[in-house]
Amino acid sequence: MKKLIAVSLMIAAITASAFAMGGKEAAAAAPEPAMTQEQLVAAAKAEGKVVVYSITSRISSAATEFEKLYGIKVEASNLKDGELIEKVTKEVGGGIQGADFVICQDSGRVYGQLIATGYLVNYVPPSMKSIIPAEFQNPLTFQLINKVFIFNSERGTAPVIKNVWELTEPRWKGLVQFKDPKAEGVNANFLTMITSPEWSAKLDKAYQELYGKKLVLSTKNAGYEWIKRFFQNGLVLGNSDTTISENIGIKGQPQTTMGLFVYSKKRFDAKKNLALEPMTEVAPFAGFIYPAFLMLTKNAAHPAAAKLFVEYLLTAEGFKPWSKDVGSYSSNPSIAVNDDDQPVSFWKPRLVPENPQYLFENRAAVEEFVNNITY
Amino acid sequence: MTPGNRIRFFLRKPHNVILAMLVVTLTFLTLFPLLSLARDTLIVHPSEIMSVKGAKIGELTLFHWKKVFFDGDTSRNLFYSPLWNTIRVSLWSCIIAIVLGGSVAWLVTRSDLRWKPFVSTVFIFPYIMPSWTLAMAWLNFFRNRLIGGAPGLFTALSGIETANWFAYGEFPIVVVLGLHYAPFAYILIGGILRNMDSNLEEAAVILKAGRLKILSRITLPIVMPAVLSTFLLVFSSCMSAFAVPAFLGTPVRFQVLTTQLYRTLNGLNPGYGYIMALVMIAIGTGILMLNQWIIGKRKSFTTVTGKSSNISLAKLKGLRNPVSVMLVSFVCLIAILPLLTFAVESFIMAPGDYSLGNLTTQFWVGQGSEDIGGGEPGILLNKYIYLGLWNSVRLSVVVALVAGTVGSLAGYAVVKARGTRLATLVNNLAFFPYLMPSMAFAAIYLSMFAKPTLFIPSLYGSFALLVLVGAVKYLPFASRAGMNAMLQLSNEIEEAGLIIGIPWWKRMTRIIFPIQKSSFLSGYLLPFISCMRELALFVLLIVPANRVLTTMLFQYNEKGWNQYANAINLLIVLIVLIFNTVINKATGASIDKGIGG
Amino acid sequence: MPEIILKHVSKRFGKFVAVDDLSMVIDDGSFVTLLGPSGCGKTTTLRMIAGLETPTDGEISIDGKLVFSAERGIDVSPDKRDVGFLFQNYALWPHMTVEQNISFGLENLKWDKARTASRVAELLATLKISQFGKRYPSELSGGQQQRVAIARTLATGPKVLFMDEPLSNLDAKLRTEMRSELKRLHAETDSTFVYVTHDQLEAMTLSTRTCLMKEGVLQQYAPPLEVYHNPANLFVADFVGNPTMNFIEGVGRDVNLDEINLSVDGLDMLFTPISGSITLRDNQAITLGIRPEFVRISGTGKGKARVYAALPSGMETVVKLRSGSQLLTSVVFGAVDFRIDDEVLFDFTGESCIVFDSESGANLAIGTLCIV
Repeated sequence: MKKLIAVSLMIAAITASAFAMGGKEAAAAAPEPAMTQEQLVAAAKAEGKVVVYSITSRISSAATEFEKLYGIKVEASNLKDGELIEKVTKEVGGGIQGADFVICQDSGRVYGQLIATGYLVNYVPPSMKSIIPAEFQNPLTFQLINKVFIFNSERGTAPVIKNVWELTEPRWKGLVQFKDPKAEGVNANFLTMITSPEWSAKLDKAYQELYGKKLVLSTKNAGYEWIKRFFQNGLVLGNSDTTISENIGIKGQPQTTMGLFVYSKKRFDAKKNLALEPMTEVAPFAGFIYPAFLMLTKNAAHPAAAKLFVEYLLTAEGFKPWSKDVGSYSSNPSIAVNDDDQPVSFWKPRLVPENPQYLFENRAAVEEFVNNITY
Repeated sequence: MTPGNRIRFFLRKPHNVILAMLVVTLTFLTLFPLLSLARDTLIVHPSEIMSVKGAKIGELTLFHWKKVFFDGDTSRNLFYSPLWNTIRVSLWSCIIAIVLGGSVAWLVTRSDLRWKPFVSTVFIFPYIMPSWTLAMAWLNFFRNRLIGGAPGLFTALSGIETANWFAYGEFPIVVVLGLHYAPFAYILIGGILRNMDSNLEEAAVILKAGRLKILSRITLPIVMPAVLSTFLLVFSSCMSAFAVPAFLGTPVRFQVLTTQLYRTLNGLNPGYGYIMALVMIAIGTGILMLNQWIIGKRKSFTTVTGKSSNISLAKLKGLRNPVSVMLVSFVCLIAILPLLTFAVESFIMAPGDYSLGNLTTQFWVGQGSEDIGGGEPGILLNKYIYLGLWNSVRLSVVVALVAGTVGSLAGYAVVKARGTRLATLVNNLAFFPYLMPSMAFAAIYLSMFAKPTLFIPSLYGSFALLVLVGAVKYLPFASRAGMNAMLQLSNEIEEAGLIIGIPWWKRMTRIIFPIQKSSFLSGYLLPFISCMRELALFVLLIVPANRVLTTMLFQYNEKGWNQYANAINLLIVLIVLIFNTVINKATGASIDKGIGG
Repeated sequence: MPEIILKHVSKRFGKFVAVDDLSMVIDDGSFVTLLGPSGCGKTTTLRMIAGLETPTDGEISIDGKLVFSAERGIDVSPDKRDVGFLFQNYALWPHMTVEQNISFGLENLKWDKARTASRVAELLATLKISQFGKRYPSELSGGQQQRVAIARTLATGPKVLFMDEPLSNLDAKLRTEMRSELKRLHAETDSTFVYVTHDQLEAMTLSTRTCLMKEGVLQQYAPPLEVYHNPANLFVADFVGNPTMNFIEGVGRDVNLDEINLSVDGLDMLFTPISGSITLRDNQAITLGIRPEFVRISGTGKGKARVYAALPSGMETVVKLRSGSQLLTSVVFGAVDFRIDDEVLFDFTGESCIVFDSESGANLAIGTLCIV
């Protein structure tokens, strides 16, 4: 009997402590002394290592160059955006030293879950303060990325649609691919943004322009309506933009297919023998554009090395893995856009941008809506 | 007797000390997390601040429960339809597994089939191999243009475009899960048939009962309780399968509970996921209780048939050769052909083009190229692959050592103290993780150890957490093996050592363990193999620094880097098969010894 | 009439020969036991006759009908051989009640319900298990299960009944009881019984003929008393009888035309065959076999020995004697108390002492033995 009592007492004790979750986080970091560039390099080399989580796989090429340059070992991991946010939340929240800095995307969540909580710390290298436009400095933007409507151009390079409402027509049934918004936050963000008053008005207008009649709503607004019809027109949801680009670009398909995916995948054309052609003149948008942020974690184990790497990534050399292809736009205006590409100023008016505040407030509702029409 | 003396006497027996320690640790590691999980269904998680309007992180809320169970279309899409899908898929897979596994078991144990050693060895390959192996092979063969791009080998060879229902979703999931668990059913049912006295059937033959009548009136009713229990075990395994539905269901958005769990836990609403985990555990527990009840009834059956005499083999007569040839081809089809497709797929440059000119070694030994797979070098030159391999092996070895040792001790102590309430408690606690679907189990540990708990710091992302979750999850295998070993050993063996004053640890290491070496080692082998091929358990817990081969495979596959994924898969399968064979040959331990029930 | 004939039947499992060239005739209405140590092929033989095992070679016919012939490719299935089989572990179907177990065979013969029921009731009564009809086998004791098994076998009234060590799972008392039941059953059913056992006492007490086997080879096929008194060879002599036969080994010498003189350990013996004569080769090693009941302890005996041990069991006393280096067993009727190491006198009686050839084990002659 005694042992039974002891055991139950113990269980009770454990239970009690589980519910009394203590939020004993370590005290905030001490204010940082300013470092000269030499001091920073020395400190970084002393640390000898830096860990980065990134949403772009090309970080590994940059890492190789950075290792060569400074002799600092880089552990680079390519993660999906939501995965990255969860890991940072758990690691920093749990007081575990994981990443030193991150390249992350999905602004609604990043603001609400990582920046507002103080898990990520903004750091703009002194050398960049005067170069990078203020709008990109807090949080520090690493690059802009665009996803645009791209079609299989084997039968000709002339744009195949002029208006996004065409994609809801039977003609395109089952021929359009898009990455599952569940698999990548920025895609969900795009869908959320077009339900905003501004973009739903534009969609409403585009509908009238195309069909010459008023849009009859079965949902809240034109944004939701387009999403619903777009998805229900046999939209193929993929798990990866790479696969989608291959699926769309592969030659010898019986019908012309198209997708809404990362413009930079056009770089596979030659090597993989694909035929991909983007469209820029689609009403009211040709795709969407979103930032990737470059930020330190609150409890970085190798802060100096992280800072050094951050700075390096903002230089032309450090950005080379991205700049040598289309579809990447550094926040550093002195880094030229790829010859075959257009500058951000060209893309901005044609694409749907992210608004963190609107996303934070409406994303959950849109996701639920999308779930209910797709699954 | 004073209470003090009672405790002293109680603790003088080593097995009591083990039991007491196990009760404490296992309570902490299996029951306590359940509470933590329950709590997680009621609070606002960091990623939910967008959904639960105006809430702060950590606040109590009923939002998740409401959404999952009582919110019309949302609940249906989120929970009810995946639940029905799960139940349907599990049922059909079970039926395939049992019919197929049972037939092969009957052919191997009870008929004069040819090439039995080959069939019985190779037929269990699909079970030793990771569960998604067949799913990937299926895609390699039958993928169509639905997800765009290149169709699979089948279409490439035959020119026939596969239908959607055939290539993706429920049908292939059912077939693949059925095939994967058929060996499991084969091992269990084969064991029953081997132990069933063939005199029972012969007695009916003598009394002029026809073949069909013997099967329906004698054989089936006698093995039925065991088959039913097999059915339940396979059902709960199918229910907790993640990789197969993830690979085959995603293209057509066919969701089951596990994939839904993964999506929600990795998405914006982990609270939903925790509720689903709870539901899955509840179902699993229900199944186990049902199983215990059935096994309890079966006892009266087994005592009747004394020792089993020699089994006379049914003659297939004219069917002998056709059946044997068909079975061998079938076994090759499900166990060997998939490996070939992985090899083929991993050497192809542009997917879908199987001409000679399109062959490449890029994905094995190529230098990284910016255009392919984001600049990753071939897997044999890729340091991350070696890191993953090293992590996999290291993790599996440590998990096997921990689970195997604890399991052996648990088996020892439970058998020694048979019949006492404490032993029953430990036995149940040690078996409990078996019914927790891996994904749900991982979710529990995620919820519990992602923050400091009691004296334990936050273990999120640590190697220790992976070891812990693996060791506890596979403890049932090891404790089963340990118990089987101990049950076969008469108590006198140890008492003979006790009488002449050999200390306890020496009795364990010098007498008990060596005698039942192969049984105990099976308790180490099973966790090792399971760990090497585990995905669902680790996919939620892994962080980049300690990723293992299986999670890397999953990532590559998600990214659509098909060739890398195939190459890694081939690597995993070969490692697992080689380890299994070597350990089996060297020690006599085998994977089927642990599950036999 | 069901007469069972085996001609040159062999059974090989791979390289192992279980039954080697066995020929025998089992007469109608006889009670034949297949006797031998475990692994001698007796169960295999029984199963081959029943059709549960397929012989590798030879021919078997039951009741004049060829049921198996390796040469002519005939193999009649067990259900068409009209036999009954009683298994060692009873093989009662655990999921059926006693009644269901017994009626299953009748059901297969398409008996109507009423007739089946009355037959079942009759059998239950015969075997004194009427009160257990509705029970499941697991709720019965070993002896009761045994009776159910017998009832099930008898239900269809087979003319030939095969039994595979049916009593070996019972305790000693029950076994003795069941023996007499079986013997009555044999008389009442008027069937042919073929019975496998490794217990020589069972074979002696039950059968009309005993077939003794060793390593798949038939040793002797004769009525039990003949096997007992005139065993065909050393193996048979040693296997049958309890306490076992005394064996004295030595080198014999022909004397007086047909007598043999043997001297071992100061014991000088003269063997006289009761019929015919016996001639030994020079230095032929022989073994004398004397049943314990023919070693008589008496005041007039010419042999001297000391009591090594005495084992009284009430009705009789087994006395172990030591004479020189030889240990002899003697059986004395009644409880006689011998003190260990006392000197006693003994001699050999009866006309059933046997001379075996030590090398081949063959029975050379049977006769009287006296100490000179």
